[in-house]
Amino acid sequence: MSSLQTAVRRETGTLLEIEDLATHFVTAGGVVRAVDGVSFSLEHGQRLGIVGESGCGKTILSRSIMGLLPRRNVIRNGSVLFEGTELTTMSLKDRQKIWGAEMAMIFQDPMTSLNPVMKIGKQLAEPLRIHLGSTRENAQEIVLKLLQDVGIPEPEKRLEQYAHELSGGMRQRIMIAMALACGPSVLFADEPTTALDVTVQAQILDLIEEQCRERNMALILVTHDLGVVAGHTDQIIVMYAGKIVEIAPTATLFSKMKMPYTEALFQSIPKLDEPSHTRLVTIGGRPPNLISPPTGCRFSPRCPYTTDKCTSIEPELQQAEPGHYFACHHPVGSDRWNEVQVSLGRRTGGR
Amino acid sequence: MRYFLQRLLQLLIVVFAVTFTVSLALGAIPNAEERILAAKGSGAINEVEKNKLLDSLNLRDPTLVQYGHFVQDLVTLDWGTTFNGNQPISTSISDGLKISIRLMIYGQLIALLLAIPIALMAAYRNGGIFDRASTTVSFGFISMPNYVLATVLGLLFTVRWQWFPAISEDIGFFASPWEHFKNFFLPTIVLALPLAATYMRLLRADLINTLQSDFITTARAKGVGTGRILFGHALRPSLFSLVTAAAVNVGALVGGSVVVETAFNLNGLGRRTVLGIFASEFRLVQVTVVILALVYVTINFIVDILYGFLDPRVRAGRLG
Repeated sequence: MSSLQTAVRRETGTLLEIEDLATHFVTAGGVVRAVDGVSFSLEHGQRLGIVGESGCGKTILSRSIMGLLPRRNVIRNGSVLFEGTELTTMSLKDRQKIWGAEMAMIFQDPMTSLNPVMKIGKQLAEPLRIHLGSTRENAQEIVLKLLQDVGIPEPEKRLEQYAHELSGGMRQRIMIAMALACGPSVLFADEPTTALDVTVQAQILDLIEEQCRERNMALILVTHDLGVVAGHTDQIIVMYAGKIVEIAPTATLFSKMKMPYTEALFQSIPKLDEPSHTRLVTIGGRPPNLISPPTGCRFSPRCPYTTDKCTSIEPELQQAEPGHYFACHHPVGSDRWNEVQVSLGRRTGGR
Repeated sequence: MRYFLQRLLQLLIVVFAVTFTVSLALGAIPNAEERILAAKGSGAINEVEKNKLLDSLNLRDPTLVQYGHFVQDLVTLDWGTTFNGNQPISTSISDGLKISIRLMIYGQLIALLLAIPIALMAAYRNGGIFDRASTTVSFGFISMPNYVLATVLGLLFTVRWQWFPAISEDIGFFASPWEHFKNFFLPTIVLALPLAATYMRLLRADLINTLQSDFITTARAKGVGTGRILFGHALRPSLFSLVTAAAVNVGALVGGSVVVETAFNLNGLGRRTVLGIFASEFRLVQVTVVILALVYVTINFIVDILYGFLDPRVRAGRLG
C-alpha cells in the first residue's frame, strides 16, 4: 500500500478534456446559466488556475467537471473526458469510484469542511478504506505518512483529535492530506486559501505546489485572486459570467493580457510600489445576473472600451498566439483601447 | 468532568425545588383534612384513628418540619397507604410504573424505528415524492388526537377483525410472549404513531440542514457512498432535536399516557394519578409527582451527558 503514495505518476499527455460544458440551474426565477459552454483541456501534471470574481461560475465549473453537483433541477450539457472516459454519462456509483481516488477536491473553508463529530484519523482513513480496501492498521500507517508529508506536527496525536481542536491552517493541511490519500491524478482546489490568514496562505499554496510536483499530479486551482495563481500555475483561465474570456500560459497572461476584464482584475491587485493611501482600483458594477445575461459581450456593461458592437455581437474566443485565446472586440492594445486610454489621460501605446 | 458536575448540581437543585413545592402543596389544599377524611370513607372512623391518620401526614406541623418528614418518608420508602382501601401506595405505584414503563419503552422503540429510516429517506430526496408523502402522512398523525386514533384502531382491530383484545391485560412477557404482544400491541401503536411522526419531522429538518454542510460535500468528494454519507456522516450531527424530544417524552409517556391507558383499560401510572386526584388521594399523587419529576431530571441529566457524546464540541464547552 505504501508503494502507492510514493509511486509517482509518469504519464504524460491529456488527462482531462472538457468540451462545451454547460451547467444551468432551474430556479423559481428562471434558468441560471452558471457555466455556459466551456472548453479546455488539462495535461498530466499541469497546474491550471481558474480566475474570476465571485459568482462568475468558477466553483460550479470545477464541481461540474467532477460531477459533484446534484442532478435535480440541473441541466447539464457537453462532455468531460477523463483519461478517455466520459464522466457526464457515468452512473453515480461509478463516479464515486473516481471521486477521492482519481480526482480529489479541497475546499474554501477548512473550518466547515471537516466532519465536526468524527475523529481526524477516521476521516483521513476513509478514502483509503473505501477505494483501496485498506485494513484499519494499514490505513493508519499511510495516514501517518501523509500527515508528515503535509507538515503536521505530532501526527499520532492528531488521529485522535477532532477538527475543532486544530487551527485553520492545520485543518487545510488535513484536507490536503485527505485529498492526497489515494494518489489522485488531479486535485481540484476551490479557493483553498481564501479563509486562511495571509501568513498561512503562502505555506498552503507552497505545500500544494510541492505535492503536485512530487506526485506529478495535475491541479485545478480556483480563485478570485490573481496573486494566488501567478506563482503557482502553468496556465490560467479567466472566467466571466459562466464563460471563458481569456486563456493563456501564466507568464503570457501577465505580460500580454488581451481581455479588458483580465486587465481590470490585474489593476485591482494592490501594488507595493504605490504610495500608501492610494485609492484601490475596483471594477465598477457587479457580475451580471446569469438568468438573463447582457446581450453581446457579457462584460460590456462594465467595460470602459464598450462600443455598439460589444453590446450587439458576442465575441468568440480568438487566438492571439498559439495557446493564448481571448474573447474581445477591443482587446488591450487595439485602436479603441488606445483611444480610451488617451481620453482617460493614461499613457498611450500598448503595454 | 466540570460539565458533569455542573449538570449534577442542577439536578439536585431541581429535585429540591420539586419536593419542597409538592410537600407544601398538601397544606395549600383548602379543607385538606375534611377531604382526606371524606376519602377515607363514610363516617366509619373514630376519633383516635382520625388523629393517627392526620398525624401521619404531619399536616399540623410547621412547614419546614413537614418538609423534613416528607423527605424522610420518601427516602425510607415509607409512603403510607391509600386513604380509601388501605392499599400500600408503594404497591400501587410500582404496579402502575410497570405498565407505564413498558408502554413507554415499546412506544419509543417503535417510534424511533419508524422515524429514523423514513427521515433519512425523506431528507435524502428532499422535496421528492417520498418526502412529500411522508410529510403529509406525518402531519395527519401529529394533528390527530390520540383518543381518535385509539378508537379507530380499536374498532378495526378488536371489533371488526378481533385480532387483539379490546381490553388489554397486564400479562408479563415471560408468562406468555404471544399474549403479552397481543395485549400491548394496540396501545403501543397508538402511542408510537404520533410520536414517530413528530420525531420524523424533527430529524428530517436537521438532516436536511446537515446534508447541506460543507463536510458532506467533502465526504462526497472522497467517494463515500450514499448509505455511508447518511448513516456515517449526516445522522449523528443531526440527532440533537430528536434526542431532546425523545427524552422529554420519556417522562411524558410514563406519567401522561392517561388517554391510551384509559382507552385500553391498562392501569398505568398516568391513569392511577388522575383517578387519585379525583378521589382526593393526595399522598399517592404527591409521591407520583416526585417520582415523575425524578424521571424527568434523571433523563435530562443523561441527555446532557449524551450531547457530549453526540458532539465533542459540547464537551469542550464551545457550544451549549
